Amino acid sequence: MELVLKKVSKTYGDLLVLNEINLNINEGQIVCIVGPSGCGKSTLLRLIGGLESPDTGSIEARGTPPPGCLNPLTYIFQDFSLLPWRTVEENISLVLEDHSLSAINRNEIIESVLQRTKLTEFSDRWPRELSGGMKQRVGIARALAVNPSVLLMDEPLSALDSQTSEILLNDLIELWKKQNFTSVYITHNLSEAIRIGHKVVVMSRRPGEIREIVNIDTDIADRKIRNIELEEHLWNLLKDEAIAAERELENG
Amino acid sequence: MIFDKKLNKLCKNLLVSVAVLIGLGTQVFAQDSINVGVLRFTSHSAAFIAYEKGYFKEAGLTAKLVPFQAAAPMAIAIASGDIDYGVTAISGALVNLAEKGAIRIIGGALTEEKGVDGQKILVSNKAYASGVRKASDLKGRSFGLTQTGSSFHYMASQIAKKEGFSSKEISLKPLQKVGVIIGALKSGQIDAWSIVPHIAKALHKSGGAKIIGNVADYIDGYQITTIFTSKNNATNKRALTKNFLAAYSKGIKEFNDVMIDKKRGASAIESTTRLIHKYVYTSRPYKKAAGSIQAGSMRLQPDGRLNLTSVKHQLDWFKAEKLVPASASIKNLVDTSYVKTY
Amino acid sequence: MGKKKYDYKPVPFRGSGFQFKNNYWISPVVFIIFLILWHVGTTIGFISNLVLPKPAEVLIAFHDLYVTGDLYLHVGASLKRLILGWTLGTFFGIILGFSIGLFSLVRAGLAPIVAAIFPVPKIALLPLFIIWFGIGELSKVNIILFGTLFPTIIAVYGAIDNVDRSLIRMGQSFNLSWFSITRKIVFPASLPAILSNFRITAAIAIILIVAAELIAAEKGIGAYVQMAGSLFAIDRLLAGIIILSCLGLIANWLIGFAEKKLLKWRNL
Repeated sequence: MELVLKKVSKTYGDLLVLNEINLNINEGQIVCIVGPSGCGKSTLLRLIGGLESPDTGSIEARGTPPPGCLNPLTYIFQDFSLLPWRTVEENISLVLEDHSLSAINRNEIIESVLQRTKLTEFSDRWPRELSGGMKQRVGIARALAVNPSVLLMDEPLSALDSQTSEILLNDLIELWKKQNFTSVYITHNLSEAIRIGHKVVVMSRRPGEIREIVNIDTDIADRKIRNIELEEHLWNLLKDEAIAAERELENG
Repeated sequence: MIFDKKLNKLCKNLLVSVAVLIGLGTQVFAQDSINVGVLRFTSHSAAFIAYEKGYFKEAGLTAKLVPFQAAAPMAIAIASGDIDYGVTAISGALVNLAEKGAIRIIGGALTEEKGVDGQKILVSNKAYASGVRKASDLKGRSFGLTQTGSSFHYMASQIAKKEGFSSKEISLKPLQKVGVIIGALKSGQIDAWSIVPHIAKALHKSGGAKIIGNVADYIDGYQITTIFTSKNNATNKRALTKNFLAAYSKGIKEFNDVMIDKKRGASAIESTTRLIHKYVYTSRPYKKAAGSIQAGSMRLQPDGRLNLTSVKHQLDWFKAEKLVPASASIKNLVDTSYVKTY
Repeated sequence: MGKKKYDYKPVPFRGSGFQFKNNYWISPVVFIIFLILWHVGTTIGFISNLVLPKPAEVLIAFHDLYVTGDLYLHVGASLKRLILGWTLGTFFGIILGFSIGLFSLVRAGLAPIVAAIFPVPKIALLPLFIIWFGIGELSKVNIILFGTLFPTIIAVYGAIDNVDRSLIRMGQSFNLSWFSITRKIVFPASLPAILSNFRITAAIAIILIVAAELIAAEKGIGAYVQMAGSLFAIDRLLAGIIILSCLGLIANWLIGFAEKKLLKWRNL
């Protein structure tokens, strides 16, 4: 499935948050969105997944979701959003319970995603017992359980320490190599974007607009850990606005 | 709190003594000052008369009347020394406080006599309609009280006893306030009650309830209220207590002469009623209150005489009902050295 | 001036205090000292018998209650009213609290009324309750019901307001039904606040049982305490108060137990 955004705008009160965003998200591609804080990248992700509606413009999904897809547009959250009163297994079960699946079928799905995210032995643990990295694995497993067409990831690694996020990033890359999922990946970490993105969308702020789209042709599997040259290019695009954003007062 | 007040009093007394010592010779004649606890009922008129007519002053007492809402707090105030003398029905609280050596009964006030209009037994219209016509029909019925161990409780059991059934066969409903009992009786939520004649008659007349008997038929010479004081006043301040009783008796005599025996004519009744109206039914205009005050006047014991037989009977009942310790004795309750007893 | 001499001293520890240690033996010792002082004070007359009865007298009052079987009658009558009133008040409180918490129309209509009635002392409503519900069991149960209803409503909808919005968002993003979100996310998320509110309403119910039994109660701990008070039988008064506080302790323990069972995801 691919997503097409045409002239999407959004305002909160008097504030124009997003201004005429045009973007194509192609099947099997990971599109990374980077930008200074306040550029509306999280809002954009909520619009893409239908949690908010645009004021003008359109967001279209083209093509049919894969067979067995329970929730085409599926999020992975920065704060994991696990239910603390459900165990790992039950947290995944939550998103399957509203669908008419047999218990056997459901257990198969859960077992399969737990295995894919290396969580099998933690299935009956409470979220509070898990490290941040493990919690996000549960978040990923939960997303995989509904067999989504597009994964919408909102800074999935930014709440984790750098080693853990490195490990998880590698796991995501492995996962993509196996499944070739389509994804919109929001991050403020440039090297992360360069590692995992087929496209890096650089946004500017006030109003949120697309400044540049950088295509990275190197196969994801073949990329090095750092690409200093590209990082510097992106940083130069962002630097001034990042400084301005950092100096801004709350609700300014 | 009791400690504080005592301490306060002690300090005050010390200050007064010092002042007296300093001003020695300047003050020749000092009056004793007392606090008299009263309820705003016609049955407390002797205190009102003695105060208004200056009988306390004549007896060398500077009296202050302290009004109370109910009998029990007055008894506790006497125990704590805030009040010196009071008049109230014999209740479980009174006996328990006497047992603890806090208070003593020294005389009698309101009393029932055969032939004199006394307390009535009332039943609700609903109960009356369902066939409760005499006291013997009260078996298995409900009876309103203010509190467990109150005079209403005593009356209910005495009625039951004389009619030949156990007081356990009456369902007693403690409702705390007379107003609430009246409401419950009118609406038929309780079946029966006993109360002073003017309230009973008013309810009967207005159709709120029906009178079916007299309490006097069930209790001989019922000593309803008594005059009491702290044990300390009774034993250590005999002169003061005698002076108080003398002044109070003068009030009783005037009340009986004017309001009960009507010896002094209509103008005396009117002026005494006006005097009482300063304290009783103050929220009603005089015209309306006068009838209730006059109808509610019951004889007070001349010279504060005490029906000790009735008091003993009541004490025994309290013991039998386990409302007071079985060891409670009449000696701890009554000081018989002040008034005539019978 | 000679050679400078250095003082070598260990760095002093400054981090003591402001943290609680478990001193399990303290409270029983304090309790025993209190009992001894009470006994000695009342025996030698330092504490007047008008102020406090002897501990032994309170014990005798207990014994009397026990041997006459009145203990069961009083506690039984009160428990019946407490359990019925509290359960109904809590049940309706949770339903109304959820309605206010979930539906803005209900909130607009009911929340101001609840806020207006909540602070009214239910004891002040006693005369009205007698007119509405009579002097039987109904008015007694209703006082407790009303006393627990309003704090429960407010606690429940407050708890719902405080449910982490991002969890609800998560539920929506997975297309969970409204009912599923309410049952599987909103309800469990507000459960801790609801349970801790139980402690408060249980205490309110016990406070109100004394007021409820002011009216035409022949049996009940509240009625017993009232009677002891009006008789100035302070030994029985204290015995009754101790029973009331035991009821409070038991209720507290039961709620603690329920918390342990229902909220095991919370504690280690």
